[in-house]
Amino acid sequence: MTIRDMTVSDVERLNAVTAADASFAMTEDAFRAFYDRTSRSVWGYLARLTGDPSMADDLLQDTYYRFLRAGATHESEAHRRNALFTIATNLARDAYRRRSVLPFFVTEHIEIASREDAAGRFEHRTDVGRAMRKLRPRDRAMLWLAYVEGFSHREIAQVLGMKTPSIKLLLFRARRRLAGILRAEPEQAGQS
Amino acid sequence: MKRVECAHEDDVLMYVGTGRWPDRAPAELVTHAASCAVCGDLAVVARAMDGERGAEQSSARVPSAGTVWWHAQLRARQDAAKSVGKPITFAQAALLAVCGGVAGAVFGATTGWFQRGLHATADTARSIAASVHLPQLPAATDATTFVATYGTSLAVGGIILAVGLGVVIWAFREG
Repeated sequence: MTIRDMTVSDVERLNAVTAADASFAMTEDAFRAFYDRTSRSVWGYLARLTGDPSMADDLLQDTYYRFLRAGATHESEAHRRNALFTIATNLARDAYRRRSVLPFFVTEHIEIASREDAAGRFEHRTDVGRAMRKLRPRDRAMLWLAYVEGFSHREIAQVLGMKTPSIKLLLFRARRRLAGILRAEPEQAGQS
Repeated sequence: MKRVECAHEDDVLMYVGTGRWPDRAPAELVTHAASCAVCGDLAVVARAMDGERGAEQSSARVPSAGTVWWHAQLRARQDAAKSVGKPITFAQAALLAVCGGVAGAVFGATTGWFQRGLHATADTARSIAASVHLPQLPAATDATTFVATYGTSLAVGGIILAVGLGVVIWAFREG
């Protein structure tokens, strides 16, 4: 198609596509480094939150796409990471609402694939996974963010869209529930 | 009031995080955790989650950065191409409907042939209503009075109809 053959719509479309290429929040190199640092954590978070590794695969791509298109500037790596987990949380929440046939928490036993774990570690992980699935999604999110990702109460509040002062009590309750479930599980749970 | 925090939490977390809980942690801290609801739960949960962190690193199945980047670019271009020539938005439809309604009302009040036609239509409507015993509309002495009497209602009705049509068209196109 030559320039003369292009209609006004074609020109507008070409301009829009060119603008889309330039609209990402990061360069490709910066994105690759950021992705390599964060993707496993985000996937693990999504898999635990949703209880569905396949859904976590889809939501992972969506999360990074929305992060790139948001075009926000971040003061630090920590802020960038918080923004990423906020997007992931919102997407997981929306996915729950769309799947109206799913119970509030997933009760069926869904394994997260492990390629290298010895039998003992795999047993441990399924016990913790099973225990986590008995919690509400919000409790799972809080516990994961606090004790796997090491987020502060303020950061957890930002990611979950809650008030910082409420996190202390809610985290205490979530911890109480999970500890109670784990103590009732076989002795292998939580033991290395 | 039940305690929800303890001054020793950070210490417990530190020993769990460095893999020293409980065997290489201070005996008094371990003894404290055995009797403290906060620290006791924290030790159990933090150890369990610590195991999850390590397992997640080794078992997470994520696509390569290049794949995700390429997919994101493709999707951005598709979204951009779709947005070009998008049908008018709801706000634009509403504005168009309001302008149309006002223009129609002004037109109706000022155009002679339109007024005559309106008068004839009103007469016909009255005679039909009379023949089928429908409630009589109050007679307007002339078209100008008719428009003055019913113009606002007609304009509002027209705007509502146009806005409704605009919403339906927008909804179908967006879907």
